[in-house]
Amino acid sequence: MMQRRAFLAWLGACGIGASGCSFNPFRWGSAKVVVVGGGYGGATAAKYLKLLDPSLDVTLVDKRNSYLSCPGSNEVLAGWRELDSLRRDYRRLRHRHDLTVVQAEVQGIDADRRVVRLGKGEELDYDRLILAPGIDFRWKAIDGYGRAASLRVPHAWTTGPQTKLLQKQIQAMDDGGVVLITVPTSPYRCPPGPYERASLIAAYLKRYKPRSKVLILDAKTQFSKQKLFLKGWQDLYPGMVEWISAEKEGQIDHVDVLRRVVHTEFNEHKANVLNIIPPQRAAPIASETGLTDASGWCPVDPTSFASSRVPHVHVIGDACIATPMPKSAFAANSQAKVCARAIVEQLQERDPGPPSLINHCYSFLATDYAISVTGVYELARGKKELVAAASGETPMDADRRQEARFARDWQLNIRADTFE
Amino acid sequence: MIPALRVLVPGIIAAAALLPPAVLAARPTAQALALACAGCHGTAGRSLGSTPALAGKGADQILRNMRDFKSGRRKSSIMNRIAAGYQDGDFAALATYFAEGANP
Repeated sequence: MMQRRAFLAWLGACGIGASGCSFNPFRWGSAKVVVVGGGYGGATAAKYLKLLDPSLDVTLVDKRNSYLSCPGSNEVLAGWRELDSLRRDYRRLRHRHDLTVVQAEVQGIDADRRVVRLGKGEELDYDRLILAPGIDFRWKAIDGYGRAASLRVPHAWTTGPQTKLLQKQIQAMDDGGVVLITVPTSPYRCPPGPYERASLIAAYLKRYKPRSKVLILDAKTQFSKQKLFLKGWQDLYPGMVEWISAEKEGQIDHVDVLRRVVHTEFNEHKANVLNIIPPQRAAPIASETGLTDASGWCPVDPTSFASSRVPHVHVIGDACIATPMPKSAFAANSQAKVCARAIVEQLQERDPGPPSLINHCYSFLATDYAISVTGVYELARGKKELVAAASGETPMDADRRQEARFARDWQLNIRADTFE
Repeated sequence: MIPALRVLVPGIIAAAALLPPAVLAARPTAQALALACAGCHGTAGRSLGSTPALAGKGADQILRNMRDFKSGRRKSSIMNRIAAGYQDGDFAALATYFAEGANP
């Protein structure tokens, strides 16, 4: 945006109405914000930038013309919904909020010139850039499990063909088989996701292949909503779901994809269906732009989600470090609003004040049985870090059926709040 | 500086010095607080489905509900956990914001 001082200087230099000035005074105030990545973080940011300041020139860039939601994808495995029901396009965002949507693969970012390079020499210049690129997998982290292996043994940690592949393999499995899910160390996208997945695969197996089992091989020694999941498995799927802590078996040593065997430090497990969820890091565009630190994720200032490393660039969603917030759709939606609001305020030379964030994640264990985890986050006093002002899980005596209804209502509202 | 402020400002600074640090810590604005609520209660508090809408609720009602959720006087498996993360002044700010239409 042209700042007020610059605008006055421009008036002085050109004289009002003088010809030969390329700057259009009627566009005063329309700063350019480019958002890269049309998932929960990016779509919310683009929408709220326009809600908070309709004069902004906002462009949302994604390599696809629609997005497949990760929340809800475990329900595909249970056979509750079609994959296509998770598709979110950008038509409503574009029409209702007057923002530009560009379908293109980002080739790179030139932070000095403040441009996003698209293919064929096309460029988008920006005053502020928001990156919501999501995750990438650390393909070299597990011996025997690389990108090519994932075509045989799915990760299904991004929604799409991988989800379908895992679903097909579970459907094709004989009764009495073992579905083995491996879980990486933190941080990774959706901390309770692997355990919801185990639950919903068990829901399917209980109905169609009741002698089968789900085994979870965890690189951690504890997990999100642990007591609630363990209680749920006991009540709903007795003897069907087993969780193996790293304490017992250590880390994965290597994976034999052809035989579907996972070798740990102290044991080995043969699976009929194998689902490897690999360790993760921020998407490649983040490291290519110099936004990541040694952890592979992007440090940010949580008052605005401005990158700690590159000026005029903000990073939200799974790719950023917003500890103690988890990497979730809800967190990305909440971070996007803090970021959008901070950009709007800062462009007007106002202080956005301290941030306020929420994460609230439901996990289904059956159609009428869900549990949740909650966090309310604020700025730690005197620090550029977040702290949980409150956090908690579904009380053990709470009504799981009611939480399942809340979970469905959340799906409706988060969808509209993000994509419509 | 206008004359009244010449008297007031030093007074405010002196008074602030006596307050405990928790009171001095700046809180998020009403808008900043409210935007986070939309993840469950809908954009501008206009909820789809059965999650209660916040738009159009009276300020008194929102304030009372949030205080009751925080104190535990009213049981809710979710809102008891959420309300615990806010201060009473936040509830007042949110109540006014939603009652006045929650316009971004």
